Amino acid sequence: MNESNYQFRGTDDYIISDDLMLTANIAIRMNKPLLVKGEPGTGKTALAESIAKALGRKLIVWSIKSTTKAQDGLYQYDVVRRLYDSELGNEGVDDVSRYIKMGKIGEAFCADEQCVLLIDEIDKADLEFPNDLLWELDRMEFYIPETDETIKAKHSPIVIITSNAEKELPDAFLRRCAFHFIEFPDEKLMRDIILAHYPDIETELMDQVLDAFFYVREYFELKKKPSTSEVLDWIGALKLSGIPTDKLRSDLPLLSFLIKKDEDLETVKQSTGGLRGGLR
Amino acid sequence: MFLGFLLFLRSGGLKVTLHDWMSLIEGLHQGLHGQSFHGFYILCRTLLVKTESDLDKFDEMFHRYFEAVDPVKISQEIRELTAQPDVAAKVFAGYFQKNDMPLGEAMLQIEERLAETRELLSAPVAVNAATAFGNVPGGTGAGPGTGNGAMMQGAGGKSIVHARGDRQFRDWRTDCTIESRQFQMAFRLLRELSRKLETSEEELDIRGTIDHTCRRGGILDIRMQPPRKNRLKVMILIDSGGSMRPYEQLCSLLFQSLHKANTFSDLKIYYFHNCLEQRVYEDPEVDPAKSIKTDWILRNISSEYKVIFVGDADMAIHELMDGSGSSWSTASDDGITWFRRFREKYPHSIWLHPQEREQELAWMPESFVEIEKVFPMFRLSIDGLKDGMYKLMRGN
Repeated sequence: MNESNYQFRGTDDYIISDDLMLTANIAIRMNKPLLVKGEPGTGKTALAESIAKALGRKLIVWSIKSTTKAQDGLYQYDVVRRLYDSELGNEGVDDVSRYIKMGKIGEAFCADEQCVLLIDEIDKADLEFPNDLLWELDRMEFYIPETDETIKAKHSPIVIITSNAEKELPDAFLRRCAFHFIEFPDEKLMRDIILAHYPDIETELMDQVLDAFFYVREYFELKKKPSTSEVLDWIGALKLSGIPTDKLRSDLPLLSFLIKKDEDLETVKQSTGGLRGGLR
Repeated sequence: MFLGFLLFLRSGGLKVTLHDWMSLIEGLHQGLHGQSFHGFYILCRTLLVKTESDLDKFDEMFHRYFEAVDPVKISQEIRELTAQPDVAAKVFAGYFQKNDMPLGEAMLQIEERLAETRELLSAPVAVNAATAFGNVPGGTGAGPGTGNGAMMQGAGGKSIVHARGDRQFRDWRTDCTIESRQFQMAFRLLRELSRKLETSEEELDIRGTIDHTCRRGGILDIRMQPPRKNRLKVMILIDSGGSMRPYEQLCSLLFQSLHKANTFSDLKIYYFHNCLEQRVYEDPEVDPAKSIKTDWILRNISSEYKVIFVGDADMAIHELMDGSGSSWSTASDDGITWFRRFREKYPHSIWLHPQEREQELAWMPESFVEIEKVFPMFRLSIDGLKDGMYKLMRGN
């Protein structure tokens, strides 16, 4: 395989599957935004951080909320402040550019070197949101009518977009992206991931944790299945608490770190009460 | 290059555009597939598949299309070429020149690469059988791992086998029955659609007002805009008990996500037992004490409500066609008449059925066929729900 195609190879604390590594590199090389989907907690956001770290680029995070508008990412024109200033007769009111503040995309475009732009949880926003960004992400430029100025990216940023699949994204938007669906890691990959975060973890604890974790994940009908980030939290909590680890699977201590929904906690508690030991 | 594959994918219903295709060719040109079959698979997947619900379809089609690629035949052809150096030299002349490489060495390399590919291609046969044992889902937690891992190793890295043989993305197909998270997703569609409803109401557009006031130098200029409220009113009638037992969990999910959606301006939920009768019930226990007259609904609930029936439409035909068969009351009207009345009163109404539709309509229960004549029917799957919602918004 051509070495130069392999810009990104994961970092020490972010273990990556081969497929995702290939995909990420393809997206970077082809200058396409990479759309990452997957279960919550499988490391979608961490991917961007890891790429930024591995390539030594600055990471700009734009977290999307339900109220976020596409415009917010480009620039904001502070009309109200300008109005105040004009009433008070402050200086520089006629200089419109003083009231233009760059958003995250604007920031990434204006940066002096290539950076990584993470558009986090794009599906949180309004349904029209991705469509409003089509031109900007395609052409890597936008126009500010207030100052009659076109902002063009000096270096096209590496764009990573994450989605939890809460809303479907418009086709026109998808067409422009490279796509990857992060699968839930298998046991081997999970081991590597845990080792990356807790290099000094004892084998005993690791085995017990994984055993208990996959048991919880697969045996019970859960609404929100625990994922990578939960298992990492859980290990952290277990280590801190010093609870003996030999009966993790039957006792499931500190379960609330693993399972976040009340209903799910009930489900597991009820079942384990009756089944303890029987399934070993 | 690979134009046939593009057409094959499109004929299979994957929306691959020419633009995607150009990207793929560009990627190949840049060597992003790394000269390996798996790399090619990933490259195609990255650039051509846009949503997880298409992944399974893509895997299947990729497998079907390239299944025919016979490494043995190819290597035979290559061997024939090696036997005839002058022909080979002609065919690969450009390549040799560029890479400044003697013929023999090049052939060796090709053979090596082919051997690799052959291994990958022949692997699924061995592995599919093996996974049948290795992959017994981890009821006890220890499942995935050892057995599989070893098999994958043999196949030269896990993914190619995994991706092509196992069809790991099956769960994400949208044409199967819904699960909790996906359910809510589907209901957002209804919300999306409801935004498009026309309304004459208006509210103050603060942003616009400020903007325009500033433009006029501080003289107040009020701007109005239509509100973004959901004006949608929904009535749901759910078949409860009896043949619907197996779908109880599904219905409960539907119920929950409807409540969670919480975006309708009014939501009414009623239950009926098997077939619509004189009374409908207010809770799933179909307690006659908590029931209201079906007639009352027809008279009092306005026709702007969107009506969704949920049920398997599987009832005894006499229950549907003549009133005497009703299970709880001494009805004078038969079920189908009630259904027709609903249809007349509520032009925006659909029927969702949880079970799979048989290929031939004639194989479905007779009552199903009858009801389909009255209501547009959709399966309670993501795709079905989506189609149903569109239908519901459009009316007839």
